[in-house]
Parts: sequence; structure tokens; C-alpha cells
Amino acid sequence: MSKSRFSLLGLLTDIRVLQIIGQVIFLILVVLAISGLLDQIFAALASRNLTPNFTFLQNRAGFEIAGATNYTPNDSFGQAFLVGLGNTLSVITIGLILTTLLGILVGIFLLSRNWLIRTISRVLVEILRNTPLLVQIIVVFFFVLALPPSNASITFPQEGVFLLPLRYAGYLAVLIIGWQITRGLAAEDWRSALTFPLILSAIIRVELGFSIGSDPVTLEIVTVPYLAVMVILAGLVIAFWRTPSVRFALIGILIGQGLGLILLNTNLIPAAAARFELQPLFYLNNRGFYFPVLQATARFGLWALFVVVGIVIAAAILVYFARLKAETGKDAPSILYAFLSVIGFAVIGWIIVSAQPLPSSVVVDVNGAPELVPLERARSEGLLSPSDALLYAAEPLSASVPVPRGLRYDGGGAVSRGYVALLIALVIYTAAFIAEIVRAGILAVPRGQLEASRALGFTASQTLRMVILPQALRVIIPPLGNQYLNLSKNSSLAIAVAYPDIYAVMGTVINQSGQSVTGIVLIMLSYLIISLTISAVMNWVNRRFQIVTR
Amino acid sequence: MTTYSELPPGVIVNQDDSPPKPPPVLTTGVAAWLRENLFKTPFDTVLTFVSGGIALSVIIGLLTWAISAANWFVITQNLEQLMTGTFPRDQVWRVNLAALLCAFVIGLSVYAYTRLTRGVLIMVVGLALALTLLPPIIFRMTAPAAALLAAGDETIVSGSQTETPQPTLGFIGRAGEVITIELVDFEGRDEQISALAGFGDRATNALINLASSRLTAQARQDEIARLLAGDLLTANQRAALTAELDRLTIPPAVTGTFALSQNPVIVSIHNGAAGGLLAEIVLNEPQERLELTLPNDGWYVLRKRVDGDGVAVLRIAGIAPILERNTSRTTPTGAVRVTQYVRISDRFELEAPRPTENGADIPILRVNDAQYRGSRPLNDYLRLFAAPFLGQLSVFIVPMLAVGAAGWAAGWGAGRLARISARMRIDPRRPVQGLATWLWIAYFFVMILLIYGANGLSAWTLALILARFAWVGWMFYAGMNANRAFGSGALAGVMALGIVQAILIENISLDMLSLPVGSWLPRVISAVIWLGIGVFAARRGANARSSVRETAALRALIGAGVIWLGIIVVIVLAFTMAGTTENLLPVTDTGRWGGFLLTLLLTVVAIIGSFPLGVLLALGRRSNLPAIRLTCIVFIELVRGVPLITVLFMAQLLVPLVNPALAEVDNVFRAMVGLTLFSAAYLAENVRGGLQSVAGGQEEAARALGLTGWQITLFITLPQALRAVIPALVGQCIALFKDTSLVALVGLLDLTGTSRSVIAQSEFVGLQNEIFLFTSILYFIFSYIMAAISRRIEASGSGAARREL
Repeated sequence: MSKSRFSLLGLLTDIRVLQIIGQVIFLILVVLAISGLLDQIFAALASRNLTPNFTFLQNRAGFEIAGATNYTPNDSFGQAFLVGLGNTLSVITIGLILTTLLGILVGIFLLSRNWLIRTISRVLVEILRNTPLLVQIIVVFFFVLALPPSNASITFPQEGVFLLPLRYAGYLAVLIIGWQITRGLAAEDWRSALTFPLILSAIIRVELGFSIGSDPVTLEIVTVPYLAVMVILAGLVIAFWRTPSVRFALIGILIGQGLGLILLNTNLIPAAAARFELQPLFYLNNRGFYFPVLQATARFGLWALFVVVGIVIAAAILVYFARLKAETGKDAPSILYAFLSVIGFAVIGWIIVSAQPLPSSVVVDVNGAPELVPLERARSEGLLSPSDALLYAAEPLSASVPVPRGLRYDGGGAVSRGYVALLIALVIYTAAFIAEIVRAGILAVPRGQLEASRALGFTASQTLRMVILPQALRVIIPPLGNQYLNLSKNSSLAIAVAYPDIYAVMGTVINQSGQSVTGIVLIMLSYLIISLTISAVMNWVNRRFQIVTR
Repeated sequence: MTTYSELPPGVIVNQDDSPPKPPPVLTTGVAAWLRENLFKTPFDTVLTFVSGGIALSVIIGLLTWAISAANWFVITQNLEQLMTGTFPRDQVWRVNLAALLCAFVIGLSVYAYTRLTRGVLIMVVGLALALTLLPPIIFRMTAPAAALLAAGDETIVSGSQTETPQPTLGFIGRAGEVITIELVDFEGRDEQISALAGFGDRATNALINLASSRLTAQARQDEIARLLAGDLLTANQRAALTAELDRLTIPPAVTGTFALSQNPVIVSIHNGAAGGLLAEIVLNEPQERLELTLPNDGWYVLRKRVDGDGVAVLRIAGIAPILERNTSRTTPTGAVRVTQYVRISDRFELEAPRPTENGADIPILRVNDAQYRGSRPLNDYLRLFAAPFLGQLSVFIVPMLAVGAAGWAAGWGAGRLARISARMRIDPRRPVQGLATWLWIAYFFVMILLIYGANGLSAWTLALILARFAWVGWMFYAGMNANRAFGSGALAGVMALGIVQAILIENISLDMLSLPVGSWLPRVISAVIWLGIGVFAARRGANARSSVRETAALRALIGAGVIWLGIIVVIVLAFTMAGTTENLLPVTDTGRWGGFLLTLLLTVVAIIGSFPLGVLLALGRRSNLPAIRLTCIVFIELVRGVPLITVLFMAQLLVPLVNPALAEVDNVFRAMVGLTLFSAAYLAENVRGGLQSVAGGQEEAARALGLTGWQITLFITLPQALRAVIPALVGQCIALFKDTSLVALVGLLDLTGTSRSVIAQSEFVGLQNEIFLFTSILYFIFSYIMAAISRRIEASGSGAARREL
């Protein structure tokens, strides 16, 4: 009998119905507002004879992009967009790797027991965190501009002859002997207190002799202070006679000095040195950074096949031993076996692939005319084009080293000064935040956990691997993901250093084509996709770590 | 000394006990700290020495650079521009007033929320004293920096540069300053030339360049010879160095070529405007010198020539390079272009025209030509940079500190007044805390009004508005005390008194404004509204909780009345003296907002604007209405997924398209809108975190008590949520403050933008290290203060124990 009757009033006073009506009205308002905005934008664009579209991307771009290798002004807007996107992705990828490493390092510094290290890192982190990134980028850019010019590049290793004195081998041997002597001795034992001060003191004495001994005048001058030092040392021995450890250390230093002097004066130490001629591999100057790159030659595919086989076998080994352990409880160094498998296949593959015969003669371009020349000659006279060089190389990988030719560099890889400045600034800025995150994450592990692991007899590395990291990472990963997102978005500040990232390139594209709406949509979509990808990856990582600890 | 035989019986002495020894030296005090923190292990020791060495060399290098090499004129000459951009100079008082008001409120808040420790007090007083006393002391203790001017007729060729010394030079000076001129002694050595330090004119600079390039070539030659003699070179290097050695040519000594300072120099100083000779001397020997005390402020002319061949260099104390500045000034007769001459060493300004000779301007020592050369001694650093900069700071900071102290005192007084009776056991800070909150809210509106301005606001209107506010405040206070002390009869009396006062105010204002006939209706309506507010305030005051003794209340009542009268009198006096300015605060052109002012304004507006928006978005994201939730999620994620620069760019590019009328809207407002929207999305996520941290039981309990949805949100959930995320919100403010620098990329001249534009001026080109160091320090100070406040709030337990990273 209690069949409720339909009532309009009842319907209108029902909160659920009201909510639905309210939402519908809200949605309509939002849609109306957005469509109104779009209408006005389209109308304004139409008055300038522009219709937002994506077909303009096929038009000729007509502007240069600095440092783009396979792009010319004759290419389309679409290709310009891709160049910008590629540059942005490059900054983000390299930046994420470097900033993570640096951030972890500084985070550990922030927790250092050494007061000075801790304080210096704290000050640096605070400075970086409390000044705007844009200012930092500008400052770094000015520093890069102030680097030496191309003909006086900062190089690594520095060009020149490097001498490695043979006596260093002797030092190493003596140090190892000393270590063997003091091994297992108590700290109070006179041998352990004496040995290392003696050895180090003798080495310092010999080195001093070698560095200034060539100049007799200097040797005269240092003799008096040297005697004074010896007298002071002797005085200290007497003063610390009652403290055996200090006494023995001082005696060691004294004997070491005497020993060094004897060795020097009897010419027992050979002055010979190994001679190395060093050529620079890396160049840094106010035009950019130049570095060697590894290039895959025509034979890389074949070699890669060997490596893949090695990896597959390694995986099989890992799976097999894991199963074996699960069934029998036997432990085996499976990771070592897997590693050996990969390395072994790589080495064998390299030897086999390199041994393949090469054509004896090749067709090369000599002064515009094709000519058949022996391969050896073509290679030694530099007749091979870069692509041919890769085609006729014996090894699967060839290193290409930059060689200065005037203001340019042949071979190797290069990044512009804008890239260098942007990358440095982004990396150190983000690393400061990551350092704080790492520090907080490690501090979040309760102290009792450490003490418990020590009580259970874990080694330091085991404690780190099995106790600290799993728990710290749980705290670290979510904010770390945020910092990764920040870095990727901050890469858009490339415009301050004139590096053509996606935002800078699209700014020019919008100016040239007038397609502002499409351009902005493209920029935003690109960044949204990058952001969503990073957060998806970080969420996945986060989930894994959260599950492991449960 | 006690011997064992004297000990009382029954005491057993263990003769085997060794006498107590002091702990080893290395385990206590400083030595122990050093061992524990710096030299615990050998590795630790190495780390300490390496990092200490690096840090020390960096600090020493930085200090050496700052004192002997950096050109801080870029800061001291552009400080106003860096602070307020191109804000109209005659309106800058509004910015200063806003800053002073801010100092007042800060002082009051310091009283309300913190306890002043002796250390802070000493620091503040010390800072004020140092800023006031140091500049004059430095000026008294140090000698003026030297100008190095060349004399003679020879042409000096240095690279592509060809210079002949100027025979005459105009300079500006103040009455009482002493000009000292002497001959520089070179002893016939080029090293003496490159060791010169001072403002050199173009000819002297050419000499210095010649000498230093010669010395550099010599040094390089020696170095190459040394390298070639050794065997540590590759074949390539050897070839390159040999080629370089062949190219190197070493010119003859400069001192010999130009017979430097070897012949007598005739120097005279003339009055610039009148042309009379003031002093003349023939300088033969380096020991001789001319000393002249300048008679008045103005232009002077220096004439110098060498009696014979060669060039001489004069070291002159009292002459400094001049910055020529063209400014336009509004006068009653219209805008006038004025040329100002600013002496760069102490910012002495002169507007008198340059002296002329034979119809041509006499040359002056321009900043562009006469940069400081050589390694600067400490004396010149203090005299040229430290003292003027501290002087500039003290003009700004000392009043701020004074007003801040006044604010603190006002807070103290308000606390005493509100407590009324010493017997009341409430903390006097409590009522002041409430007052501070309201003052901050009011301050932001006043600040915006002051800086943006309001057209048609005359002094009387302002006085009237202030008087009405004072009246409402009095009504509240009087109502509270009268009712508590004497009952409702007294309350009625107070109300009657208040109404009489209000009518008086209205009458005075009517008289003074001499309003046109016919406009009485709006005035009556406004008067009625104000009366209503006042009566309401009195009723609220009467209902406020407090228990008061009658005498104390009477005293407070009389005190309040006196204060009220005082306020009225001060306001009336102030604005009578201010004259009859009809347009007190003309609207400023936002295009001229710039510098640190713009940075702060963008930050403040974006924070205030994004707060309600962010809270709404956060609530919307947690709403159980799918349409609203979805809209909020889309907005938040969209904005958070793109860089701020694209949002700003969109505001610059798309807004004019949406509505052509908006194209007229200033860039500053568009940037504000962009920053606000961007910040709101991030703030929403922070607030959402807070909302999630509120225990579900709170909401259920509120529902059980019968509160409606809005009541639950406003009074139960939101306060707890916001309190939980205070540190995150402050972090957000810091991020926003730093992010405002991005507006420099869309063409606004905030602190970063101004810095970039300053080093584009020809006088200051290439001084980016100096200016960005200053800019960074400014940003750092403010961010760090915000971070410190955040840490304080976190530590005080106001925020929940949520971990924020």
C-alpha cells in the first residue's frame, strides 16, 4: 500500500536531484565560458585571416636553429618543432641522471660526520634553494661566456707530456708492506703506531727532495727550516714521552725524515719516469663543450647479436639459480656467473666480428672523381667520408674524438654553450632539493633499525642495502618524482640562455606563422605528455618499493 | 694538608687508590670537539683539509675580488632603479610609506608572536648604530680616491686607440673640499705604470694599456722560453709555441718613449662659472703638491700642460668621474628636461650648466671613459663603495627600524590597554595577536591603494575616512568598557556621545569640503550607514567578554577618549599642512612599476589571490559531485603539468585575443593573473593534503552535532587542514617569490629584469657579476626569512607533524 506517488515537489526537494541539477548547470556554465572564450579567440584570429589548424606545420619554417644538425631553414615548422622537442628531451634526460647522482652525493654530505663538509654543503644548499633558478641560469650563462676562447680551451686531459716517476711503484710496495705489518695489531702496539708515520714521513721527505732538490739555492734555503722542524720534532718526542702512541708516531716521523735524507743522498731512488704523451679528449670553451662519442659501425649489429645471446644466457642463469635456491636452499654466486656470461660473449663476439675480412680496395671520392684505392691508403690519407669510415671499420664500435680545426671541431660530439649553462644550472638547482630529500629520507629510518642490524651482525654494506635503503627510498621516491617534474618543466627556461628548446622554438614558430593557439596547444601537450610520463614511471617505481616493504 | 693520622676514627682509607687525574687534554673542550667533528679518522682529516682549503680559497678569492676588482658603482648608482624601477620619483614617497607601515605592522607582530631576546635587541640597535655611524666615520678616516690625469701634447697610440691628453678638464666640487695635485713618480719603470690605481682618463688608460701589454708580452716570452727549454712538450705544442714566440714582439719601454713625468708640469685651477684663477703651480718634483680648498659648490676647470716634450701623469685627489643624467621633471609650468651631473664617488649632484670655452663645452671626466683602473686598495673600496652604500642603506633601514620599534611599542601599549586591569590573568599578547591579524589584512589593502593609487582622493576625503574608522573603533572600545563597568545606562550615554561626535565629524567634513548644494542625499545615506556601523560596534563591544573594575574602566575610557581626540587632531593637522592637494594619490602607470617593488607586489597579489582560489579548488577536488570534481582535477593537473613560463606566455599572447579591450590591460596585471592561476593549482594540492590529514571522525562528529555541510567545511575541516599544511604553504610562498623572476622573460622589469636592463647600459656593461650577486643576496634574504618563519611555525607545533619535503 505504501507505494509512493510521483511528486514534483518531492523531486525538487530531493538533495540528490538538486545535486544533479546543480552539476548540470555548472557544467553548462563551464562549457559556455570555454566556448565563449574560444569563439572570441577564433573571431579575433579570423579578423587577421587566420584559422587555427595543424596543417601549417607543413609550411616552410624559414628560420635558423642554432646547433641543429639535420635541420635547415627550408624544412617545415613540424620539423622545427621536432628539433625543439628533441633538445628539450635531451636536456631533461641528461639533467635527470646528473641531478640524481649529484643530489645523492650532496645528501650524503649533508649527513656527514665531518662538521666542515656538513656546513659547507648546508650553506651551498641553502643558497641554491633560496635564489631563483632564472637568476642562477643567467649567472651560470655569464660564467660560460667568460670561459676561455676556442684556441685556449679548457681540456681534459691536458695536452702535453705526463711523467709518472718509477719511485711511485716503490711507494706503493712499501705502503702495502706497512699495511701487512700492522694488520691485526692492536692500536697500542708500538709497531702499529710507528710504521705508517715512518713510511709517510720518508715519502714526504723524498718527494720534497725531488721537487725542490733540482735547485741547489732552494735546497740551501730549506735546510735551516728543515733542521728547525727536526729539532721541534725531537722536542715534541720528549714532551709526549708519557703518551706512548704519540711518542712512537713522532719517533716514526723522525726516523722517516732521516731515512729519506739517506735515501736521497745515496741516490738509491731512481729518477727515471715513464713518459706519456696525452692528447685532449674533452674541450670546454666559451662556444660549448666537445667530447668523444662511440659510434656504431656497420658491424655493430652482428656484435650486438652476441651480446644479446650473452644477456639471454645470463637471464637463464639467474632464473635457474633462483629456482635452485628456492627448491634446495643452496646459494650460488649467480650474479657473478651472469656477469661473466655477458662479458664473455661480448669479448668473444668482438674478436670474431673484428676478424671478419675487409675489402682490400674501396671506391672513394678523390677531387670529385670516384677512384678505387686500397683501404689502408684511403684510411691513412683520410679519403674516407665519415659514413664510409663506419662502413669499412673492422671493430663494431669506433670512438670519434673531437679534433680542433680552427674554431670548429672535427668528429666527436658537441653541445652549445647555452646547453652547458642550462644543464649546469638545472642540475645543481635540482640537486640541492634532492639532497634535502635524500637527507630527510635517510634520517626517517629509525635509529633502532641501524642498531638492530648491527646487533644481528650485518656488515655496513648489508645494513645499507637491506635496512636503510628500502625504508629510506619509501620516503624519498614521492618527493623525488616531484623534483623530476620540476626539472623537466624548468627546462623551459632555456629561452634565457638562447638554447632552442621546444618553448623557444615554438615561440619563433608562433611569431612566424601567427598560429598562436595551435602553437600553445602543442607546447602544452608536449609538456603534459612529458610530465605524465615521468609521473607514471615514478608512480610505478613507488608502488614497487611500497610493496617490497610490506 | 690533611694527613691520614688526623682522619676521624672509623674512616677507612684505601691507600691503593690512585689520585684523581684530570681527563686527557684531547678528550675535553675545543680539542675534543675538533677531534670528534673534524679529525675523527685519517679519511676525515683529509676531507677536512681538502674542503677547508677549497672553502678558504673561494672565500678569500671572493673577498679579494669584491674589494680590489669589483665595480660596485653598478649597485650604488642604480639602487633606486633596482628597488622601485622607473616608479615616478615624486611619487616614491608612497612606496616608502608603504614600507614604513609594513615595518610598523611587523613590529607589532613581533611583540604579539615572539619574545624579544637580548641578542635580537643588541643586533637591531647595533645595526642601526652601525648604519648611522659608519659612513661618516669612513669618510673622515679615508682619503679620497685618486684620479690619474695625463698632461702633455704627445699622441699615445695603444692598439687601435689613439689618445692625446686633454689640456683642460671640467669637474664639480663641494665647498670646503680639498683638491690635491701631485706628479706621479715612475722611476723610469713600466711596472710602476701598470701598478697605478685610480680613475684614469683616456690618455692615462692608453699608457697603462701600453705598459701592461708590454709586460704581458715579456712574461709570455719568458714562459715560452722556459717551456721550450724543458722536454715536457709534444711535437704539436713545440711547433705552436715556436710560432707564437716568432710572432711576439716587445715594444720599447713606455716610460722612455713618452718621457713620462720628466719635465715640469704647469697646473692651474679656475672657477668654472666666473672664470677666475684660484691656484697655479709648476710641479717639478714628485714631492711638490698643490692643495686647494674649494670655495663653493659648483663647476671648476683644471688646466694642465707640460713645459717641454713628453707626457706627465698627475695624481689628483678630489676629482672623480661624472655621470651625466638627463631627466624630465614636472613643474607647475610643465615638464622640463634637466641635465644632472652626478659625481660617481659620492653621488654629489649638480644641475648648473657645464662651463664653456670659446663656445664649446669643456671636456669632463665621464664614467664611460674613466673606469677605475688597477687593483683597488682597501681605502678606495671603503671610500667609494662601502660608505656610500651603507649611507644609502641607512636612509632606508634606520627609519624602518625606528618605525618597527614604534610598532612594537604600540603593540605593548595595546596589550596593556586591552588587559585594563593588572589583576586579569590573560597574556597581554593574546588581544594583540588578533589586532595584528586584522592589521595585516588592512595593510595589504592600504598598500595596494598607496602604490596603485586612487584618482580623486583628496586629503579631506582621506581624513574623513580615517576619522570614521577611528570613531568606529572608539565606539567598540567605549561600548565594551561602559557596559561592563557601569551598566546599560552608561552604554546609552556612550552611544549618545558617539552620535554627537559622528555628527561633528560629518559637519566638519561638510564645511571643509564645501560640497555643492544638492549632493546632501548620498552624504546623509553614508552618514547613516557609518552611524549604523558605529552603533553595531558599540553593541558588539558591550557583548564582548571581559570583567572589569570600575575605576580601571573609567581610566581606560578617558584614555581612549584622549587617544581618539589625538587621532582626530593629528589627522586634521597633517592634512591642513599637506595643503590643498586635491589628488593625493594619482593612479600610477603600472608600466613604471619595476625592480624589487614589482617582485614583491607580484608575490603578494599572487599569494592573496591564489589562496581563496586554491582552497576552493581543493574543496572542489574532494567534492562528491563528479562534475565539479572533474573540472577541478582537469584544471589542477593541466596547470601543474605545464611550466609557469607557458602560462605567463599565454597570458601575454591569448588574453588580447579573448577580448581586444583586454589588450589595453597592463602586462603587470596579466602577469598577476597568470601567477595567481598557476599558484592556485599548486596551493590546491597542498590544501588537499591538509584536508586528507583531518581525521574522518571530526566530520562525523560534526554531522552528528547537526552542522550543515558548509559549517562543517568552514569551522571543522578547513581550519584543521590549513593549520596542518602551514609549512607547505610557506614553502609555496617562497617558490612563488622566486618564480616571479620569470616575468622578466615576458618583458616585465622586476628585480631580475631590471638587473638585466641595468647591465645593458653603456656605463655598466659587463658588470653582471656584481649586479647578480646583489640580486641573489636580496632574493636570498627574503626567501630565507620566509623559510625561517616556516621553521619557527613548524617547531612551535602550530602545524601538524606532517612531514614536508
